[in-house]
Amino acid sequence: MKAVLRIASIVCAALLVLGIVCFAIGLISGGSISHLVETVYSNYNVDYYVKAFNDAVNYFATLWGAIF
Amino acid sequence: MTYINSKHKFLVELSKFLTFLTPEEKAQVLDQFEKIFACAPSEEDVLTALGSPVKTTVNLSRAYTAGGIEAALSCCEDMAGIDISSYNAENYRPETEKIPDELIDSVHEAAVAAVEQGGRDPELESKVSDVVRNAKKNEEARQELNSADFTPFVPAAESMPASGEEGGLADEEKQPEMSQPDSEAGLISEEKADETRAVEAEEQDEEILPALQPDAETEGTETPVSQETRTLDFMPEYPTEPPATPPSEEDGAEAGWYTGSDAREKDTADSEEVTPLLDMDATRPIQSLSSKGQMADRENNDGISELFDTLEAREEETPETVSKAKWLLLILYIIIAIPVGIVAIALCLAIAACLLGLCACAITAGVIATRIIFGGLALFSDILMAIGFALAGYALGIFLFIFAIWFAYEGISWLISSIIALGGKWCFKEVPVE
Repeated sequence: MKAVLRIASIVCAALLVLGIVCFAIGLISGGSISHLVETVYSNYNVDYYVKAFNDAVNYFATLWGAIF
Repeated sequence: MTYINSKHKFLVELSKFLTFLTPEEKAQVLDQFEKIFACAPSEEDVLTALGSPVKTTVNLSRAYTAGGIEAALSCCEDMAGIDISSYNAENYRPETEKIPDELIDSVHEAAVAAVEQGGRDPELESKVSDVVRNAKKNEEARQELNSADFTPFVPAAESMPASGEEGGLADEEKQPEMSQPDSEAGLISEEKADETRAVEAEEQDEEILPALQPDAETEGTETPVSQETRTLDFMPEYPTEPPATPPSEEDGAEAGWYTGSDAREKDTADSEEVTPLLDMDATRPIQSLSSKGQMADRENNDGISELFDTLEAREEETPETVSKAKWLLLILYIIIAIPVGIVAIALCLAIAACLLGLCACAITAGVIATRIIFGGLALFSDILMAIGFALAGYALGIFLFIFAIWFAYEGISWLISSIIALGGKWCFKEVPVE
């Protein structure tokens, strides 16, 4: 178990470092987060997912209030 | 298997492994291999036939166990596949140890020419440097042999008695296995010829070299080329191993065991320096330590016996106990602990589920970022950012997944074991056995 955790931790750390490095290089070389957000919004119906998330939160809040 | 491509290395390695032989037998075996190498058309053939030194040692050990040293010697020939009946020691000298006559002659010719010209000769200096370089190379090889306590066949002039008239022949009677009647006359005559030539060369050098190299003192070690260098470098000067129990130091010196190279003498001097230290410093403390150790053992034995007595007395004093349940409290604890435990476990599972949800979100973000890399971005910098975001998302997702599993497993295990331990502590008591 410990060995598995150690290997997974190393893999995660490597991936995270690599991702941060790539993100930083892209940001330095002229990339923009707004480009990514616009691209995501143009390719996905983000409003739909946001609304679904809010509905789920409200549902659990109502359930919590009803129980306690 | 370690393949050795040099006769010297092979013999050095082999000499290290021949620990089951006496020094004299070891010398005989190494002599035999020297003969084999001398009679063989090439070293490579013999080395290929013999294999590794370990393999050779194993075969020699079997032969020695079966039939003694004679069988081991014949085994050497069988393993190598070389017939040494045609061996003639007078004609044999290792190529690496032959005196480079042409080199010496050319050096002297160039030196004479330089003296006649009255100036320095670069060609002579280069050749002198070659001689010195060869000398250093041979010295290193001999030191390696010394360090391995190597006793090959060809006895050098320095390793033999100073002269045959002074007891060398008598010593052969003491050490018959080391004597080589066929080769000795030839070796001594060749050695004398070499010495004569070296003395002549030195005399010429004494006349020529100071004129050629006025700044020899400032150049240091490379300039002098003397008899010492020549004989030291080109003569086969293997150290011979002393007998297991030399009669005395003087006898050993007379027998030629310690009259070999400078390195050998240095080794002997070192051993002489070490021996008094061992006598004075090491043995006495060992004796005192042994007596102290006996006293300490006795004290330890006394302490251990006292300890056992104390433990036995305590065991006799402490009565045996048994756990007895408090049934009412136990039932009440179970009634309370089960729902509390279930709630706690549910909380753990809820936290783990939240972690898994976050894991899913992170991986989903990574997947979305991966998709827009290939579908919606045009700038390379944006693509790089998306790649970084995707990798970070995957890493976060994997981390959260593993952490959620670990938290659920360890948390629930800890909760259950804690509840059980607490119940055992509260609901049971130790009562003495009646």
